[in-house]
Amino acid sequence: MAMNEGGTPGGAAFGDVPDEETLPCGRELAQVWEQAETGEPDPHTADCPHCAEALRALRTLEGVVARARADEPQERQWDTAALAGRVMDVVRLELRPGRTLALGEPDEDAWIVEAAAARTFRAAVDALPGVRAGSCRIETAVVNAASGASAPPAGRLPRGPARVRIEVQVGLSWNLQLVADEVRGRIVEAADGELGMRVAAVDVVVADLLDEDEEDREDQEDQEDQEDQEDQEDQEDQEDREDREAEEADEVEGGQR
Amino acid sequence: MTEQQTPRALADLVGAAVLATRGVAFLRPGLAELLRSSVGLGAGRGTSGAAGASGVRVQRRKGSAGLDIEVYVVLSRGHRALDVTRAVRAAVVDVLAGEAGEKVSAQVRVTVTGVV
Repeated sequence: MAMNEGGTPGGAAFGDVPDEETLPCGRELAQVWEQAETGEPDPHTADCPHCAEALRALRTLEGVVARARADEPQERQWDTAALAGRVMDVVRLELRPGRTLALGEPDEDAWIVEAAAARTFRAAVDALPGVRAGSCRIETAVVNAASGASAPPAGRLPRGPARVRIEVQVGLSWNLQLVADEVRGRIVEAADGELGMRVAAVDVVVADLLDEDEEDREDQEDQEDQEDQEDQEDQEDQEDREDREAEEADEVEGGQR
Repeated sequence: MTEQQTPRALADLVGAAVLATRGVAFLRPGLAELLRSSVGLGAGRGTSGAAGASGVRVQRRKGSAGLDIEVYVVLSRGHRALDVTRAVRAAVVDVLAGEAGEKVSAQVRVTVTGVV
């Protein structure tokens, strides 16, 4: 159930590189890629077949991402750093996809990984002025055994309306009730318009208040860095939670259904 | 199915059709293989073949002529995920119909693994 194969179930702090991102030669994937980007010479990488393969994969990914950008140039301005970040995001999502959520109707076998959906929600919330999205979790209603619904495939949440829980930091100028309503609105809109996911409820947790300086700074920050951090933290939290859930699974099935 | 097509060859055809679907940025690249020492470098070439085999899995269903097809895609921003998965499914079904020459029973599962 847990996706952290040989990983860091204890939940490493952001910035630590999980074992999964270390190549068989011991080099970290991100480090190899960053060195290649900066052109910094590295005798090891020059001779190492694992590093060479990692760089080939990077070039390939850059190619496909760049083609995607060229096809739809109006969508977003990408610079090189953002592109490298996005490539690493793809790697991280693949390594720790977390759980998978259903899209569409019951007769459709369409799914999206939780991290991708959560990222979409956070981006929608970040677009509100003076609001910074934090951790975002998505659950679905427990399957009603009497409904005859078939069990979801392994690693996938049961099909049903989603319940989203998101933490936000908000500027002091916001009325908290109003900002919660705005956040809910953005998430429901994104769920329908960008994903095609039904949302039954959105829980908004105001985790912190931003003073004016922080609000100004937030506008200038690279939001992608923030998203990366939240993704990482969510996935690590998710792994912890899945481990706990696995331990408690028998109890839940026996006692609460 | 497609007695003429091996699952791998069919996966390649399906992959090409999926990549041509509007809203699909690329198939899941299969980078996980890079990081696992159990995979030999020679065998890991699929990752650099881009769009890669790990983005499409085709299996014959045991005990029947049906197929189980799993597609893993990374989408471009600005496209509704559900709509893209439906278009992907339609593209896969078209490939099957074209290749099989007769109706093929296939379970097609589409999973969005990222948005760039």
